[in-house]
Amino acid sequence: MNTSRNMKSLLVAFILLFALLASYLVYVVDLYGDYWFASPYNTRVTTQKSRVVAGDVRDRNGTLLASSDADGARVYPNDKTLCLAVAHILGDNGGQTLGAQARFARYLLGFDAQLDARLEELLSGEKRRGSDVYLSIDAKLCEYAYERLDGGRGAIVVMNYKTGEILASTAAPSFDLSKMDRFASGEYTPEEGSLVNRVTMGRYTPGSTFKLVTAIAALRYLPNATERTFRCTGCLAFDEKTGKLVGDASKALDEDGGARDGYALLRDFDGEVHGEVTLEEAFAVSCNNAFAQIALELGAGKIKAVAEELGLGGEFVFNEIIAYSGSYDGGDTDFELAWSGVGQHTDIMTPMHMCLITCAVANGGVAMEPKLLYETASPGEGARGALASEAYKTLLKGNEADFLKKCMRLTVEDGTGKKAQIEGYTVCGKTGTAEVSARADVTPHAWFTGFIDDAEHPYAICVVIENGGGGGAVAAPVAASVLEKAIELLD
Amino acid sequence: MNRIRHVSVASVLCAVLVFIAACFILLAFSGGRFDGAALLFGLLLCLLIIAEYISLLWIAPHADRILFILIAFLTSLGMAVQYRMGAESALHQLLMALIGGAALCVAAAVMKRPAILRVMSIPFALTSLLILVALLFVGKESGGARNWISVGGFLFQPSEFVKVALIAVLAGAMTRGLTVKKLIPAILFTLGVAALLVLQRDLGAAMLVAGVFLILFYAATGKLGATFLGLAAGGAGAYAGYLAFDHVKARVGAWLDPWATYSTSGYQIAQGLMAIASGGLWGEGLGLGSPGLIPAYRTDYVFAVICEEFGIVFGIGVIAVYALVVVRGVMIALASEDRFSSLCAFGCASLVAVQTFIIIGGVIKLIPLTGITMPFVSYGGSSLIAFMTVVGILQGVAARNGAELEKKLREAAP
Repeated sequence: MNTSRNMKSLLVAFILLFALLASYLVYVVDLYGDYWFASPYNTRVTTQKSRVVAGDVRDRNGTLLASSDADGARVYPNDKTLCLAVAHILGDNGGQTLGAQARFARYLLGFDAQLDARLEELLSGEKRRGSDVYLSIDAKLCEYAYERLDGGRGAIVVMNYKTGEILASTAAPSFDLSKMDRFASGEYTPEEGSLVNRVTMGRYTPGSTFKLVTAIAALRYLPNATERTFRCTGCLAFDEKTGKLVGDASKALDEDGGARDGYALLRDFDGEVHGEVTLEEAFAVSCNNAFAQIALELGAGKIKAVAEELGLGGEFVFNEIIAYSGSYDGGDTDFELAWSGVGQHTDIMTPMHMCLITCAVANGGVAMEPKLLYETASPGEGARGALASEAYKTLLKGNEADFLKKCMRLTVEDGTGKKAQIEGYTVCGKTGTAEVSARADVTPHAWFTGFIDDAEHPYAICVVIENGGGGGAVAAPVAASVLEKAIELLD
Repeated sequence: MNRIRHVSVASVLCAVLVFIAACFILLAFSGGRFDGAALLFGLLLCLLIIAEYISLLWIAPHADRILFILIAFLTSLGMAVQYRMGAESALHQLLMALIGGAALCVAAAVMKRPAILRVMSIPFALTSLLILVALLFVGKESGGARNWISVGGFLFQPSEFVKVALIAVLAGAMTRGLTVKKLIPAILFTLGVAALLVLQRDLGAAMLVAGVFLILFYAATGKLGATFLGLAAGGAGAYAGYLAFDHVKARVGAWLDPWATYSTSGYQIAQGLMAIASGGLWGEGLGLGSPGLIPAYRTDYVFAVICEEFGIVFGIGVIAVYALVVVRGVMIALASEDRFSSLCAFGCASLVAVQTFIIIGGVIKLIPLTGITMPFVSYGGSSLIAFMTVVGILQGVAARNGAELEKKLREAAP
């Protein structure tokens, strides 16, 4: 019964509790503070709008994207296409869509101002002006990408994989920024689903682009993954009831090559048969059969573990953008597991997430933190550069990134992604054709994710065209043309 | 030569007075027009603190000066924030501080003869239970908890005082003996109080009572196994509460993701987080933020208000001040040779530590939010007076420690 010793150890515990409080406070505000501040629920931002004239938003070249008129109302450029192209990344002024204007309200509304500026405002009673914000995007490139979506639905994002800068981001359908202040009252009704930024929040079935993830899992967990071969017979058969793999697929086929009653099939695109293939070849020709076998061999647990390391099923906490992550669950049966390995089943990806993984492949395994803020300029103090680029996370080991780069190069040189070739540059990529309905008359989503392997032009891209058709036929040429435009504009 | 000389803290006290002056001068000039009442209020507050200082040292010459300063700072901070949120309620709070000051002095005087409190512990226990049972029938509901009672037009929250009584009761029981048999009444009493508090939906107070009991139990017995057993039982009880009560489920849901439940239970937490984030490192400045948007800004959420207007750096400073209060309290307990006084003082320090942790942790989303006050700062007479009594007990024990030491010195002198 040593009371004083007990009391002393409890005192240590108390002090630790207080230290926990203080360090958690610092940690959580550092991590989430900007999110909380920029929340559309934070009416302080709205109040500040009546006291401060919001600064301009411009792109990296100084092209004006949003400014305030004499009465403090928000005005946008006259170029209609430009406005539609950047609507999502810019976001409305009221924070109803979470774009740059909400994200960087701290600067635009002068919350970053020094004390003397605030005091001056207090004493003079005049309206203060917030800082101007320059975004890392190139407005012309966004406009070009938007036009390439050609009135359809979809998303395109271009990033610099060395710095993490977002160079272009566009989503269609889009909405009219200038009318968003009449949205809440119901006077303006944007096209259905157009407020969603499909780049960061479009939860799409990834189709074959997901083979990137399966391939990484194979590299990590299949012995001799790079040397061994897989046999593609064009078709795997499963018992329809139990979902179990049937060893002999021919049993399940009827005379016309269709499935007999009681069986379900996993086939390759257009009924191709690839024969004996290596992992690299299977990747380049996007062999469903081989990747389904890999998934079955690995089991759902290992793929899920790799998917989680790549951020699927997690929560992205980026400093400058809000993005949803993808998700993966291997299903309960062989059938579901096989499909999940080729990017179907319940697999989900956002274009931004896919682009991030692509960036990691291009950048030796390190994904850079996505950056949208180029610089800020406050009225009193002039331009201030944005924070330096920093690594978000090392997603892949160097040798894994090198191998995948080889696979992606082969895909564009001699595989499904040939239409993504650009003369004079080495393009690496992966196509995807995502089945989104069991009905045959619903055209699949076309995907392409890839990058230019060039230190001078380190651009990565992800394209999704909803119900566009085949990834190689539809998305790859769009990606090539946008990358070419990027080289032209950013040089 | 056989007297203890205490370090002079008058200069530090002056710093607190300067802090008060700075706050209230700022408040007088903010809002576009001069508010003379703010200056008067600040002056009254200064006078109150000086008067408290003088009378405490008169009653208890060996009172802990550093503890006094820390408490004076917290109380002044509370007053400045309360005045900024509304002059009328601040005036009410100032009156409560006056009563609290008196309570402090009385408690200090009583604690110089700890036998009085020891004898009183059984009537205290019975009264506490009686009041809590009565609350079930005549209690007024406010903020989801049925724990208010109206006496002569004033609303009281008896659970605040029950916490103080609990310390005396537990310290008394643990002085009498430490065998399980002898501790059973104390255990039953704690369980009864906690159960009654749960029935009144005052979950924070129930958690606090259980926590203080376990801490005191460990301090007195050193039985780690039994303490963890109690902790596990408390955890099981909390889980049962989670399963049984929808409002507990809602609280936990709001804690996990306040934004998903923004329109309902998550509103308060989300508002608090936005306030803290808006203040940034150095705050928006006293009077320049919009803390009025946060529900319960005067009481439970006063820490979010402080972070918004004074900044996170200042907020961490406030946490540090609480830590120092606890350190001083435990040092007083350690210096006492009377077991009952020592346990009482330790219980008081634990109460401050646990309550501060629960409320600040809830506001910054470290733990699920339960509605209790932030000691010395939150609006609310019952809480302020109860905590002033707690400080009074600590000061009384400190005074007696000093007197004992002085006596020893005198005996040792040739």
